[in-house]
Amino acid sequence: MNSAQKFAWSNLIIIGLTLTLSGTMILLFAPQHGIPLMGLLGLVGISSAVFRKKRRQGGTNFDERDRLIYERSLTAAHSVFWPFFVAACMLPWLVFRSSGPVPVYVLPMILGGGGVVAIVVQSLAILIQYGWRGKGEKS
Amino acid sequence: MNRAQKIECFNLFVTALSTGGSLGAVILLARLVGMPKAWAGMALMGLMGLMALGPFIFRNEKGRDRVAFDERDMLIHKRAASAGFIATYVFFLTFCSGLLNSVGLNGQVPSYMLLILLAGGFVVLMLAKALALIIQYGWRNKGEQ
Repeated sequence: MNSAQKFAWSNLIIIGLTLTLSGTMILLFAPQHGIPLMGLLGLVGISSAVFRKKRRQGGTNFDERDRLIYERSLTAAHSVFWPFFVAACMLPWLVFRSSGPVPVYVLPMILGGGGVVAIVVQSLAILIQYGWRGKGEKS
Repeated sequence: MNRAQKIECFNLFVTALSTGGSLGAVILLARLVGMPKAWAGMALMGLMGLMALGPFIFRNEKGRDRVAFDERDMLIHKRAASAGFIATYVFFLTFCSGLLNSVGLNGQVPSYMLLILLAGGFVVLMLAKALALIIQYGWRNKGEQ
């Protein structure tokens, strides 16, 4: 399994684990106990740094094919982010426009949701293009 | 100047015209008819729709046996799209943080703020994408057609 696959898997695991933990805490206790756990999403930034480390050890482990896969995965993430964001802005507007103002905490939820969706789509696109398992590639 | 440069210059012009025009109209109408009605000036943002005409105005030259879009163009377009995405996300982050800061965690904002957020994000996306493309190709004509 190469570094991009490890990066994608770690992103999916971190996001899945965070959403599960946070959702469980919200369902069992209260939103104020579950929402702070969303901070675990910050581990996504660390996984990127961890799996990039091996590139510095010499040898070619990021060629044209890897670049193409990376760019395609970014394009997929951008393509999904915008429809999500349009829906996430229009739906609360439709819901709240008759009842009055929107609670301000909706805005970071939209933003965070958009970021999570973009990372999940990028990771899935990487795994779909390379394959879900290791095929002898190492980096 | 190649086709992509012409289209992005046109997009940049249309974005500046619609944004500047609508802001100017709102300020002018605010003095003439007062504030709630002055928001009608934002209707000039509809001029952004002119951007869809860019590919039709600047068509590929026909009858010439040459490559109109190669790997370099594709790379430049992809980089420009990434720049647009990053700029939009930073705009969203700044806008939401600003609102949170001004009204507090338990505050409320008018529902039309969501539409402003969306429209602003679109304007920033178009501006950043057009600028990134023009910067990569160069601001002036370098003999490319």
